[in-house]
Amino acid sequence: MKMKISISRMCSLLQEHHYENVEPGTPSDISSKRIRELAFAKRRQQESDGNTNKQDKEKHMKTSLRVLLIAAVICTLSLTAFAAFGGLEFFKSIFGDSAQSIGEHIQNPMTSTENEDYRLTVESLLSDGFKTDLIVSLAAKNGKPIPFDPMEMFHTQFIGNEEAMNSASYREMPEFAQGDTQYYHLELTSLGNHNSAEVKISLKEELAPLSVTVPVNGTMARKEIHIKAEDYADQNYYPETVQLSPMGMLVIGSEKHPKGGLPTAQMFVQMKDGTHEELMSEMSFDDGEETVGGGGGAVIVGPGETAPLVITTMGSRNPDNKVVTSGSFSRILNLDQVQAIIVDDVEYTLQ
Amino acid sequence: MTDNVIVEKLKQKDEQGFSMLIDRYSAYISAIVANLSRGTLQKEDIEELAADVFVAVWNSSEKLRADRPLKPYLAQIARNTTFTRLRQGTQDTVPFDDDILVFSKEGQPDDVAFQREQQEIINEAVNSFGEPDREIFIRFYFYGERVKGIGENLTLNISTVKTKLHRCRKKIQSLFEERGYHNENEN
Repeated sequence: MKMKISISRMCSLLQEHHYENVEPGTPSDISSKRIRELAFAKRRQQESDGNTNKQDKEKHMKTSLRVLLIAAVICTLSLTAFAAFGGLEFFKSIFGDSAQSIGEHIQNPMTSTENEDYRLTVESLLSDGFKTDLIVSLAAKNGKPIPFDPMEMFHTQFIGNEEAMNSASYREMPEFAQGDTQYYHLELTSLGNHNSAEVKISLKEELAPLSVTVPVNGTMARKEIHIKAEDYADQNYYPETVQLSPMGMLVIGSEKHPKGGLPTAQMFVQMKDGTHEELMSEMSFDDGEETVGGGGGAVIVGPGETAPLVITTMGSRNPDNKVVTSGSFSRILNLDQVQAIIVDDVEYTLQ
Repeated sequence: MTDNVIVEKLKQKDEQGFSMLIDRYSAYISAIVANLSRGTLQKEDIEELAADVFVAVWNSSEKLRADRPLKPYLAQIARNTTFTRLRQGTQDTVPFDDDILVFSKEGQPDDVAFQREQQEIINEAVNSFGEPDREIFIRFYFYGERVKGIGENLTLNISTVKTKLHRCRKKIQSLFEERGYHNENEN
């Protein structure tokens, strides 16, 4: 496995005493007065939004006293609308404004479990069957502390397809923190289709014996192209099909004689506005001499850099000489704007 | 007002504490945001992000502890907020010189173990740096300061700062290699 490591990102793991007494150079033209005004304005806006929600709830409660059945319907609808808005905001934080185009595919299970110390809730979920992004919240009760490192807090597994998960990463979303409730982004990827499986999210036993299970029902359409076999008749590797979803790509190929690192084709996505973005290249996987069964790589973007479309890759060799490789996107790809996929200089129009 | 008092007031959702926090740390937070964004953000964007940092601290003030220093917590929130904004943004790409190290290693990634290993390596490396190397490294990689600014602040010439940063990187590389990582960097 080849990996790119950003030193500046690693510095987030530094012990506090290394940097707490170092004063960085300060920009001269920043206005503390404006920061104060903005901070207070944002807080007031938050409080105003919170009050509006509270008033809405009270209104629904009064209605429920009059007509129980109608009130039940109203409450169901309003909960769904609130959850949908929350879900999109979470995914805009991950994918930027590109998340707007997949709002309808965001699921909001709002499934919780709790004990006397913590409440664990699966807030939102987005999946294309191969990559699943979960937003979970952890609320501390009775003044219990919440650990700082999410990698030490969670355990995830697919139920009904235990072999599926190949990679999992967890990170905090401090921008959504509310009082004693913290939010986390759990990113799960696999080379096998885990759609229709269930994902079980657990807190580590030493933190609290809490688990919650939600179904993965990805509704996002995938588009597929079939590569012409005759172009690869004398090649060792043949990328047979390429699937594209708004969240990532999957290539199923075959090779005559497995050897060295994982094989790849040169692939680009061509947008309708004429721009191109790289999907895979010979740099996507380690090209060592030793024949490997699998591998992967990640691009860790440094400060100020714009992420490429594909930021993590993963692949494996199967016993039947099939090779499965995948790439996860840094932002949502609008498939309606994709003109074609270019594979080893041959253009395949996406239908 | 000490940091302890500010923390206690924030935990009680006292606006005076919020106000004092902003007064005391606006310059510090702005410096982190401005340095890490490397000229890609306008003055107004930096101020807005700094405000977001303070609001995030207010929103999670129950997590603050009066017995822990406040400044490192603020620094981490400021870094995360800035990185998130840059990842979402459409700012022009500005390369961060010598930030990326490339390694290879056998086997499938194990995220938890890898993160723990990185944590051990970066702390072991910085522990081993003498002064002023440690401060130069922190200023450059943690706070995002430019080589020129570091040289001016520490009254060192630019080539000295670059040489010391190079040594720091070599140390980190060697610690990865000791743990079985194969160095793929061109140096």
